[in-house]
Amino acid sequence: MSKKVLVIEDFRRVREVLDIFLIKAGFSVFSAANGKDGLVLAEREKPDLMLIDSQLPDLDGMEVIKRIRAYDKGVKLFLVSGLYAEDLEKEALDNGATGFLSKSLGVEAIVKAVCDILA
Amino acid sequence: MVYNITMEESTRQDLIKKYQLAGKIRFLSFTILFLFLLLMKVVGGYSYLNFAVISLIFVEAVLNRPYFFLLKRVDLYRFQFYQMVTDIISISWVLYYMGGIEAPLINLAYYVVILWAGVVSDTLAVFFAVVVSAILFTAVVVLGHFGVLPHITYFDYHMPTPQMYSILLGNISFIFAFGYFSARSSDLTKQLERKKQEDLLRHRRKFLAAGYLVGAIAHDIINHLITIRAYVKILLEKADRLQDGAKERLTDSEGLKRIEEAEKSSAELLGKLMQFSQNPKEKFRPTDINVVIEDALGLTQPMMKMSDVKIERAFGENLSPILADKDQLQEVFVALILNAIDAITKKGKITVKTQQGVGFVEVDVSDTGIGIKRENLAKVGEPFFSTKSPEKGLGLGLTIANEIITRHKGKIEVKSAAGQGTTFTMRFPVVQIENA
Repeated sequence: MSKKVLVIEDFRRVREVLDIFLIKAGFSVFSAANGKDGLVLAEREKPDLMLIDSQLPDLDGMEVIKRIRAYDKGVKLFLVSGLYAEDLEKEALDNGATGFLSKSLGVEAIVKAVCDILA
Repeated sequence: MVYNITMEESTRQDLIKKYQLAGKIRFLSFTILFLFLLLMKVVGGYSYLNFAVISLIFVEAVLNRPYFFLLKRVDLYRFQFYQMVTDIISISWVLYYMGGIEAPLINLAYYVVILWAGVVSDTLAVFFAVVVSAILFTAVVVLGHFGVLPHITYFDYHMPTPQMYSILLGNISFIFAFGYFSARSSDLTKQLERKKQEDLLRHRRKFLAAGYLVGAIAHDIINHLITIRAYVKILLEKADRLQDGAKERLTDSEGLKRIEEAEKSSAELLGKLMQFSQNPKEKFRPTDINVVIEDALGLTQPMMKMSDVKIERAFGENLSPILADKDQLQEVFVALILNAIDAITKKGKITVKTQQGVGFVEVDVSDTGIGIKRENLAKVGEPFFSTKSPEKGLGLGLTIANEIITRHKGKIEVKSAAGQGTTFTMRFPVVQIENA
C-alpha cells in the first residue's frame, strides 16, 4: 500500500501542485487548507508524513506540529515556510519536527525530500 | 499650544540640549559682566556700583552651573518661567544701579530674554517675558524718578517728568512690538519644523508598516512563484512525452492559465508594495474615495487572509469627489484597517461603508474586534499611545491618520464598546464646483 502524505497549506495553488507532484511520486495524498482541518485529517488518516505550512489562517504551523507530536511520536513532520529562517528551523526542530523545508526550493525539491525520507 | 505636555522624549532631549547650551552662554556672559563690573568698581571707582549688585550678578552666573543636573529633573516648561523671572529681576536690578532710564543699553538684556523665550518656548512664554519686563522696567524708572528708590544718576541730571514718561512709553511699546515679532517668528519656525518632522515620521512609519506588509506579501509571492515553477515543470514533462496523455489531470491551457494567473498576482502585489514605499510630495486632486479605499484594502488583503478576517464593502455609488492626496489618504485607511485586524483576535469582520452627505462624504470603518476601553478612548490618536505589544506597532498609526485627515479638512470620530468592536467615522468635504 502506498504511503500516506498529508499536506496542510492554505494557498490553494500550492496545495494543488504539491498534490499533483506527490501523487505522481506514488503517494496517497490528503490535503487541508487550515490547521484545524489538518488535525482532524491527521487523526483519521494516520499519515506517514506531513507537510505543514508555517503560516496558516487559524493555528500556525508550529502549533500544529506541537499538537501532533503530543500524541504521535512516529509520524514524520516537516515545517514548510515561504522564506528560509534559521530561528524558525531551530524552533521547528525543538518542537519535534523531522525537518524544515523552504518553499523557495520549489515543489520538486520538496517532493524529492519526501521521497528520500519515506524510501 | 502647550506642546510640552505631549512632548515626545526626543523633543525633550532636544530642548534639554538647547537649554544646556543656553546655560553655558548665560554663565559666560554673566561671568564677563561680573568681571567687567568688578573692574569698573575697583579700577574706575564707580561709586554707585555697590557690592549688592555685583554679588547679584555673581550669583546669577553661578546659578547657571547646576543647570545640567537640574534640567533633567524638572518640568522644563514651568522651569523656564522661574528662570525668566530671575533673569528679568537681575536685569532690572543692574538697570537700576546703572542709572535706570539713563542707561538705555541695559534694555537690550530684556530683548535677549524675550527673544530666547521665542526660540525655545511658545507665545505664552514670550508674552510672559514681555509683561514682566515691562512691569519691572516701569517700576525701576518710575520709582527711581520719584525717589521711592534712592535716585541713582551718572550724569547728575534729573529728567523732567514728561520726558521720563515719553521715554518710558517708547521703551514699553518697543518691548511689546519686539515680543510680537519674537512670538510670530518662533511660531513660524516651529510650524516649519513640525511639518518637517511629521513628514519624516510619516515616511518612517510607512516603512515600518511596509516591513509589516512585506512579510505577508513576500509569502504570497513565493507561493505564486513556486506555482509557476511547478506548472512549467508539468507542462515541460508533458511536452516530452506527448503520447502518454490519457491519465493527465491537466490540459496545457489550464496549466498556462495557472501560470499566467500566478504571475499576474505576483506582479500586482509587487506593484502595490512599490507604490506604498514611495514618499512623494503632496498632491491634492479631486479623488474618488472608493478607489482609495479599494487600494488600501488590496494592500492589506494578505494580512486579512492570514488573520481570518472578512471584509465587507458597503460603498455608496456616485459619491462626489473629494480634494485629496491619494497616497496620504490611502495611509489613513491602511492604518485603520491594520488596527482593525489587530483588534480582531479570532474570526471577525471589518465593514467599510461610504456614503454621500450634504457637502461631505462619510466613511465608516468598523470592526468586530475587542473594542477600546472607555478610559483609553480619549487617548486614541495620541502619539505613541498603544495597547498593543511593541512589535505590533508604535502607536503612531492613528496619530498620523488624524494628522492627514486634518490636512484634508476632514473630521474623524471614534465609537467603541469593549468587547463589541470599534467604529471610526470620517467626514471629508466634497470638492466645491464653481458655477460659471
